[in-house]
Amino acid sequence: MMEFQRSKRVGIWAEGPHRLVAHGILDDDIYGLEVRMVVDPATREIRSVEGWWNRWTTPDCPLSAERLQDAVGVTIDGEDLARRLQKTVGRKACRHFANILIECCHTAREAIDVLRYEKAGAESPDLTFRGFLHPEESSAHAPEATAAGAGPPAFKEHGPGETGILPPAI
Amino acid sequence: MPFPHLLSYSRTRTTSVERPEPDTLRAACRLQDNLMEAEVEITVRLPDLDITAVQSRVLRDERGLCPGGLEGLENAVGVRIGPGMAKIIKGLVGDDFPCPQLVFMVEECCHGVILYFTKDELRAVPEDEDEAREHFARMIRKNIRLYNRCAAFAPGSSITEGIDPPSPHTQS
Repeated sequence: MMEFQRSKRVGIWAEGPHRLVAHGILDDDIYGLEVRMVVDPATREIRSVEGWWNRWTTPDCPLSAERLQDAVGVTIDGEDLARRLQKTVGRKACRHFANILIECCHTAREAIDVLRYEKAGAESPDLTFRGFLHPEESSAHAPEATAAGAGPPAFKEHGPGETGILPPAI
Repeated sequence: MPFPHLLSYSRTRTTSVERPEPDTLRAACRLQDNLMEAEVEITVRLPDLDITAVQSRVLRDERGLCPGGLEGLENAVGVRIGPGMAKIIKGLVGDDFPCPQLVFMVEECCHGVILYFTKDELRAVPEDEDEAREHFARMIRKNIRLYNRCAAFAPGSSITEGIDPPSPHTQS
């Protein structure tokens, strides 16, 4: 018989070219909590975050929902992302909020890849996702894969304020 | 203009723990998102919480990082679930293991095992809020390293009222 279960669900949507919104839900036999964070796809930084509890354990757990702001400014690609969020949000607020925020960051990275692929695919209908991620592998077979706009996201290629990552039509 | 709030990406990750034998736990993590679908299962022997088996299955992988028959994840066998386990698992599996998601899923299974025991401990918390507060205060006094580990156990919370902060060398 199952004696413990934790489910994490993250949904990502774009609100224009400058806002990617991540809604994360962590729900298990002990805790229930949610976060909503906004990422700037150009800088790949968390612009804002809010969180709330549905179920918790100690009488003072609700205090932690007010202490998530250390996540603002964090880059979703940072090499030490998990450690940084656990040391800040995890220690000052709650490690379960840090946990779902990390999941949101990982998911947002992939969402940006997919959105960029869709944008590149609109110009190169034969472009596969793998071809987009690894243009060097497929360039011999599909030269369009290396066209402008294709290729995996590289944070340093995109300065603040650039809008080329998400399709403007979204 | 496209409908504005369609999801661009979604992910569901579920971790579950069962106890098929009195001295055995089985934890499974399942991931499903736009790019990947995978399962990891670990078996854990009680009471030491040693990992005795690791299995994984990748059903879909659009990135192409996680081909079938990957070797290395089974190096986590023998690791004891507890502090520092994530670093140990990463070290044993190796930096060159091509599928970090599967390593993360092993860690999620381990966290599930810890939470399984936490759930059991929480059954002892009184329903009355003041009594619950005292219960958690006693827990901190008994293990002072918990002090300032989260908002609820931070200085200024009602739970830590009257508890002296640990000396600097006690707290990591």
